[in-house]
Amino acid sequence: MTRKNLQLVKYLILALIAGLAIWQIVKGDRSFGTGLLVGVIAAVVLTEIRNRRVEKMSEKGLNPYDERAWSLAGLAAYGALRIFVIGLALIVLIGSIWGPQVQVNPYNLLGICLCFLLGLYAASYYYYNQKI
Amino acid sequence: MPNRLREMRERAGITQEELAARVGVSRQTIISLERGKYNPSITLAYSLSKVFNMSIEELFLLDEGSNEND
Repeated sequence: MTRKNLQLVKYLILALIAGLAIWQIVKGDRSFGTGLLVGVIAAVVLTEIRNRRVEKMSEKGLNPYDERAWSLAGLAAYGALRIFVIGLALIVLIGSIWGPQVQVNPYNLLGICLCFLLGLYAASYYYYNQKI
Repeated sequence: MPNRLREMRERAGITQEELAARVGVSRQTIISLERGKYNPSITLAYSLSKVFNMSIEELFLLDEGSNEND
């Protein structure tokens, strides 16, 4: 699949999520719908900024997805996963012994975990980008 | 990995961006290479040495103590 096709698929998925967000707002779950919509808008803006950067670099004959970028992505993914697993293990261990018994919505919990992991990846990528 | 990339690039009178375009990487990669912070793949090392008509061993100096990117 070419990069243009991937972009198209990405925008179709974002449009679908935006539709779901609007549906949730209309249905009454305003906070969830608005959050989802803000996320979609942020994703579109960030994608456009990245696309422009990639276009500019490509025009100059530079490769934005060169081996260093892949190396960074690998290091960042490993770093983020390592912190995530250790953090989660500590929370489970400490929470199981001393923490209160609470009931949570599993979807909310998974969403928080996903946000945390992506945040860690972004931070890790920034760290390694400065380092190498 | 220590190398003579900056020295050779300046001697050839080309910018980091021009060198990056010639070997098909980003300018940031050339900066990292020149600072000795990033170890290139064998393909990139070969391309770079070809630009300066040198062997890889002449351009990149193996430091026995540090052979990792991290």
